[in-house]
Amino acid sequence: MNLLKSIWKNKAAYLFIMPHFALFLTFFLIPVGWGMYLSLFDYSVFSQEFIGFDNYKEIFSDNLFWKALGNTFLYTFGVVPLWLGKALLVTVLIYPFRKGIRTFFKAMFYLPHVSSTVIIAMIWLWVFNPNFGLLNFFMESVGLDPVVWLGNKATALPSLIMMQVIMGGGSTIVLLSAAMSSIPEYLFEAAEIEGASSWQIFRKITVPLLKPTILYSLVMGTIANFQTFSNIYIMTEGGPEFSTLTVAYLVYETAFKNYYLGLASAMSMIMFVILVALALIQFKWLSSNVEY
Amino acid sequence: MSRKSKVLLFVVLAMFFLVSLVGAKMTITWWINPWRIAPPGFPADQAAGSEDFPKWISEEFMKLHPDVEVKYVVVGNTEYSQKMAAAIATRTQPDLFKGPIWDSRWVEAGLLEPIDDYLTEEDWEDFYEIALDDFEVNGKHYVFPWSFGTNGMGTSMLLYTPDFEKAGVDWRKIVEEGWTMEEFLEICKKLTWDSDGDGKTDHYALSFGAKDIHNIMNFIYAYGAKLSNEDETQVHMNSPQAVEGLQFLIDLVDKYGVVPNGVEGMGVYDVIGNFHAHRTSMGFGGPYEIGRITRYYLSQKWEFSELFEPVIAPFPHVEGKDPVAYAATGGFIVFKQADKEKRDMVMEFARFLTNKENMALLESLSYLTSRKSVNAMLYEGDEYMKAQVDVFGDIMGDYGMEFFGSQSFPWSEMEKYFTASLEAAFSGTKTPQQALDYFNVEANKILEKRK
Repeated sequence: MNLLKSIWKNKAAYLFIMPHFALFLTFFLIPVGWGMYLSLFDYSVFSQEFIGFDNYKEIFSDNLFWKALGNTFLYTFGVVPLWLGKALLVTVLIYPFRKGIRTFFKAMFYLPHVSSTVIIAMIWLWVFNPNFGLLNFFMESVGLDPVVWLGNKATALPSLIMMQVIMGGGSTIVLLSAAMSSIPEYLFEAAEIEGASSWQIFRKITVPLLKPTILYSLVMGTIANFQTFSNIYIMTEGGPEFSTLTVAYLVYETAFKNYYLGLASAMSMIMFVILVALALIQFKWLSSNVEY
Repeated sequence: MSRKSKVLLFVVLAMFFLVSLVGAKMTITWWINPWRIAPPGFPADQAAGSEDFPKWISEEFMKLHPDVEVKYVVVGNTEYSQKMAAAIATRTQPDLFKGPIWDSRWVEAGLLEPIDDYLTEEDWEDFYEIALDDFEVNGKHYVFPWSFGTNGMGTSMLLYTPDFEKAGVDWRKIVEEGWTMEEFLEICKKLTWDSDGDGKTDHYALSFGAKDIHNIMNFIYAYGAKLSNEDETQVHMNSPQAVEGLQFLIDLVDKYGVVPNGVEGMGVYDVIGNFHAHRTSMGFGGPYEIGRITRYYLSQKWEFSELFEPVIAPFPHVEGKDPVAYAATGGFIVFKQADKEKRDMVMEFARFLTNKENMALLESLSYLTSRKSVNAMLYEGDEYMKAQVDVFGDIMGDYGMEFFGSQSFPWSEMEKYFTASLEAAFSGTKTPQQALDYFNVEANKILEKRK
C-alpha cells in the first residue's frame, strides 16, 4: 500500500520513466526471460518439448562449447587490456594539444566506430590474404616468409585480436578525453611544482582520477568483446579447426543453422551469467568513490 | 450529435467496412534469395539486380490476377536460414519461397504442402526426374523444380584456354574425353610458372579453399570414397579411398607446388577471385560461373582487363573410374495453407513462376532449367554458351550424384567438422587420415544424437 502511495506521489517521475521502461521491458527483459524459458525446452521449429536442464547437461559435455568458451575468454582478455591501454595512451598523448587538434585526433580514432563492421572485416580479409595480402607483402619485403594468418590456428585468433585492437577504442578515447578534461588543472600543476615526473603524474593522478571511466569502459568493453560475432562470421566462421570459434558464433550456428533454439538459448544464458559475474568482479575490484 | 447523425455515421462506416471487405485482395508473400535474372526488355548492356526479376514477375502475375496482391522479399543467402527459422518460430513464414535452404524435417513437422496434385501430366514428363526426386519425402513431392544444377561448384571445371594454349596443352581433348588424375597433374605442372621472372612462382594451375568443400569433395569422391553406408546410419569418410583423395590434393600444394599455399585460410570467393584475376588457369563451376564473369565485368566489380570466355570441362578421374559431379536442383516450396482458395492461388503462382516461358529467363543468368523442353531451346543464338551448356548438361547427366547424403541426412550439422578436418589436413596439424578420422567420430556422434 505504501508502495502504491509512493508511486502515486511521484507519478510525474514515473510517467517520465515509463516510455523507456516499456521499451526496456519489451526488448530486453521479456526476451531474456523468454530465453531462460526456452533453455529448458527441446525447442526447434520442429518440436517444443520440456526437457528441464538437459540442454545445460549437453552443453557442459560438449567439447566444442568449452573450446568456444576458452576462445572467447582469450579473445576478450586479449583485446580489452590492449585496447584500453591504447585508448589511455592516445588520450594522454593528445591531451596537451589545443582543442582543435584534440578534436581532430578524437574524430580520427572514432571513425572506425561509425563504420560498418562488415566493410572493415572485408578490408582486413584482404590485408590478411595469404597470397596477395598487404601484411604478407610487407613480410616478404623484409625477407620473412608469408604467413597464412587466418588459416593457421596459431595465428588466427591473435590476428583477429590485433585487428580489433587497431580498429577499436575510439569511443573510449572520447570518454577518457572528456573525463580527463574534468580533472582540475591545479592537481597537475601542484604535482609538477612538487617535482613529480610525467610517469608519476600519470600513475598517481591521471589513472586514479580516470578510474570510474576506466571501469565503465572495462565493463562495457568486456561485455561487447565477449559477444563478438561479426568479425568471426565474416572472416573465419570459427576456423581454422575451431580456433576462432566464440560462444556468440556457436549460439548463432546452433540456433540458425541447425535450428536448436532451446540449446542456443541455454548457451546464451550461460554467457549471460558469465558476463554478470565478470561485471561484478570488475566492479568489486575497481570501484571507488573519487572526489576532487 | 443528433440521433439522425449517429445513424448516418453508422451507415457510412458500415458501408465503408463492407466495401473494404469486398475489395480486399488476397495477398501472397514470397521470399527469394538474390537471383540477378534479367526480365524481358532489360537493357543488355547492364547487369540486372536481385530485385528486378521478383518485382517484374510479381507484377506480371498481378496483371493476370487483379484480385491478388503479390509481395516479394529478397533475402540474402547468408541470413536466409536465420530469417526463415525466426519466421517459422513466429508463424510468419511466407506462402512460398525459393532459397538456399531446405530441411526435410519441415515436411515431418507438417509445415509444407505437397505439390503432386498441382503438376500436370506434361509437367511430370518435362521435369528432370532428379529435380523432382531431390525433394521427395515419403512418396510426395514438395518443390516446383526451377533451376537445374547449382553454380556448378563440384560439378565441372573452367579452363582459361589462352593459358592452356600457351602451355601447349590441348584443352579440346580434355573437354571431349576427360582426363585422368595423372594427366591432370602433368598439365597442372605446365600451367604453373613465374610471370615476372623474380624466381618465385606467381601463377598457379588452380587454387582451393578449405571452406570451399564442394570442389574438394569432388576429388575425394573421385577416388571412390563414400560419405556413409547405404542406409545412412554410419559415416565412412575415413576410408582409404577418402584419405588417398585428400592426400592427392595436399600433394598438389606441398609436393608439386601447383596450387598456392594457404588453402586452409581460403574460401570459395578467394578461389573464384584467383581465377578471375588470371592468377590461376583453372577455376570451378558451370555456366552460372561464366555468367558471373560477365556480370562482374559489366558491374566493374573486378578490374578485368578483358571479358574472357572459359570452357567447361569435367573434373579429372582416377584411371578406370568415372569422374563425379555434384548434382543438385532448386525450386519453389509452398508452406501449408489453411484456406483452400489461397492454397490454389499460391500453387497457381508457383506454376506461373515455373512455366516454360518464365523458367527460360534463367538463361540470362546462365543457369540450366529443370525442364527438358526449355533447355532444348536455350542459347540458340549463342554458339559459345550453347557448347558450354551442352558439356555441362552431359557432365550432370552422366556423372551427377548427391554429395551430402539424402534430404534427411544431417550434413548441415556435420559440415563444420568436415571444414575443420580439411583445415587441419591442409595446415599440416593432422595427417589426412587423422583429419578424416576426427570428422568421422564427430559426424557419427551427430548421427547417434539424431536417432
